[in-house]
Amino acid sequence: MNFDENEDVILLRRSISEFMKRFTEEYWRRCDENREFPQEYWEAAAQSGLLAITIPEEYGGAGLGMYEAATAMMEVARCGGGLAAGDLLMRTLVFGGVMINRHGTKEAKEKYLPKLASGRAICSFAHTEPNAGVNTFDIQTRAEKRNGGYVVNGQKIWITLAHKADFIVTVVRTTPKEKAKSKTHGISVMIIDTKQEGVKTFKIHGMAMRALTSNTVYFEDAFVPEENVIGEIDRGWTCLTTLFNAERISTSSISLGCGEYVLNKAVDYAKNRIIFGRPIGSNQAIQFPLAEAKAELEVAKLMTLKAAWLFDQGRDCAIEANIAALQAGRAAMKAADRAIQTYGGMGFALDNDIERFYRDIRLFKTAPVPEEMVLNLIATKLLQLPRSF
Amino acid sequence: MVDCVVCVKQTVDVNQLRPNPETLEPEYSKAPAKISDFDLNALEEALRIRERHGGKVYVVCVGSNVQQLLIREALAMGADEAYVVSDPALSSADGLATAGVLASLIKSKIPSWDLILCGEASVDEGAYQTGPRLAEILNIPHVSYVTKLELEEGYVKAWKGMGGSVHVVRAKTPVLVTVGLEINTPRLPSLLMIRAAGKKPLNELKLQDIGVTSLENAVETRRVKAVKVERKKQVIEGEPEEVAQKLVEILLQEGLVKK
Ligand SMILES: Cc1cc2nc3c(=O)[nH]c(=O)nc-3n(C[C@H](O)[C@H](O)[C@H](O)COP(=O)(O)OP(=O)(O)OC[C@H]3O[C@@H](n4cnc5c(N)ncnc54)[C@H](O)[C@@H]3O)c2cc1C
Repeated sequence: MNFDENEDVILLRRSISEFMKRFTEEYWRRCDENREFPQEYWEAAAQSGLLAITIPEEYGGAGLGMYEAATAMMEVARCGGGLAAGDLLMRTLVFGGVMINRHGTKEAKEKYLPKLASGRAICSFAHTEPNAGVNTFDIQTRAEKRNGGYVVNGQKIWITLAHKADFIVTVVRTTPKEKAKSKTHGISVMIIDTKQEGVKTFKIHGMAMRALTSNTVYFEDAFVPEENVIGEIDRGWTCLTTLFNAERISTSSISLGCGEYVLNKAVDYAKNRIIFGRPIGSNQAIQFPLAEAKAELEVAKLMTLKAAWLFDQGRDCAIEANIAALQAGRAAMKAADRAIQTYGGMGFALDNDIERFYRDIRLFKTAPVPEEMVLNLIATKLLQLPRSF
Repeated sequence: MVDCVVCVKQTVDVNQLRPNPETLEPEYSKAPAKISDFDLNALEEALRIRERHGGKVYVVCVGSNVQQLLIREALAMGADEAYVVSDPALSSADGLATAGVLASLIKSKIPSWDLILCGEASVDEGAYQTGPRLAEILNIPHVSYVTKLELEEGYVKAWKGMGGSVHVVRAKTPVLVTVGLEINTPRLPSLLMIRAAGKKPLNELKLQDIGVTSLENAVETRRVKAVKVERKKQVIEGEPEEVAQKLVEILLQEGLVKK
């Protein structure tokens, strides 16, 4: 075993931390408060190649893997960009870079990947529906074959950035559940261009990730050309597992970056805030929970990087990616909670940015996969306990 | 075509440098290493010159315990080739000794060059010595504190910041120019550049490889210590007019403002 990181990864991290100095805490706070898309960050990220990490060189990318992508997402989050900065990278690097690249048609790759790598297109991912969140097989959005392509009808909910997206990687049913040959049969994945009549989006004002905004999306006879099908018709589940694993690795990385950020702030405050004539950080009641949070973040990081490494080897990493997401989310939540405790009343002040991170970090206990579903997976797949549902 | 040599120094991130609470000596080993800020401006200027006029950009670095990664970073910014002399003997080298080693390195390894660019000083020591001394040893002209630089056939035209005024000077190449933060904003290595940097030549040398047998310092550093600053914690009370009046008096008395 070798835990040494290669030079490229170290340089990438250093370069990102320099890059992030351009975007102050005030910048991210303003985007959050105004629910405003971080356009300047987006453009700068595109320019410095951060959107191109997982896209192959032939399409204008850097041809690197999830390990590098995870490093980048962790670092932008850690340097104050938090969830907004990390999630923005994930959309391009995973839904585009990984998904379209691994399972899309040649035409789709040529059409979308160069635009994604250069930041000329924004992509979104639509899976959740009002009546189907964790139960993917109950989705009702359907696609029917018509006019040399597919016509999509249905409704999606919570779709982050759909209002800004040029296209949405969408999970649909191509065979109704009752006619499907197996549980996973009948699900397909398609790229739906948003610049058409049949796609409408409505913003949802939520607690987390305010700079990006989630949406309800309606598809009314939205047209999808044949070449926009990702993977095989009715067998979309196979490629969805790729996407879910990469998404878990990404959300763990973002959690870890956010967790490190709040922890660093808390440690700094604990060293400098003097109460009863000494720094509050000299009380073990303050310092031990911070030490625990650090230990938990470090452990979760190992699992995240292991999952990323397995992913890049083309090996199954569902268990590792899910464990990473669970542990990183929890470790970050603990760090955020202890940061507020350390800051005392000041933890609630918007200007200290802890409350923003607290709100954002909370997301990963629920989305994209709630903790219960990760525990279900570990219990049934790894421990082979009987399935409860 | 203009070939440039850029001298870079490994320093520590001074923002993260803390004095030892007891001895008050700076704890260099605890602060992360980086390339001195002004040297990155020098490198950026060389890269811009290459973009306009063509040529090669060489990075040279001498010091003790130089981290390869930092030099790789300079290559990732766009330099073509790097020469590093890393030797424990250089740990206490001052501007004179460093300039001597740089001169030997440049003479023995760089085939041809028109321009040497240096940071005007280093962020850790701030002595402003190395660049001008190097020019003297190489017997070429130098222009310091340059805030804008243009190249003409066989000459450089340099805008030299002199506090309140700017002197525009012309100097014949080969020439040495020192620059500070005002001249440009150094680029960040992009992902593709980082990948490409791995394949660029990074030559690591010892003092004897460039024929240096002894080092001569002009200055001996006895001790480096942080100054302990105690705040005065004066509280002024009263009506706004009175408070303002008193504040002005104190500021004048302390010599912090002048009438
Ligand atoms: C800010 C935000 C952004 C989002 N962005 C996107 C996006 O871009 N694209 C997208 O497709 N979706 C997105 N989502 C949706 C998100 O993925 C879902 O909310 C999440 O998967 C949970 O689904 P649900 O809300 O339908 O919960 P439900 O499925 O209704 O579940 C509710 C609760 O019941 C629990 N539960 C259900 N069944 C079981 C069981 N068998 N055992 C134990 N517990 C169970 C769940 O774990 C959960 O805690 C986003 C959500 C938010 C809040």
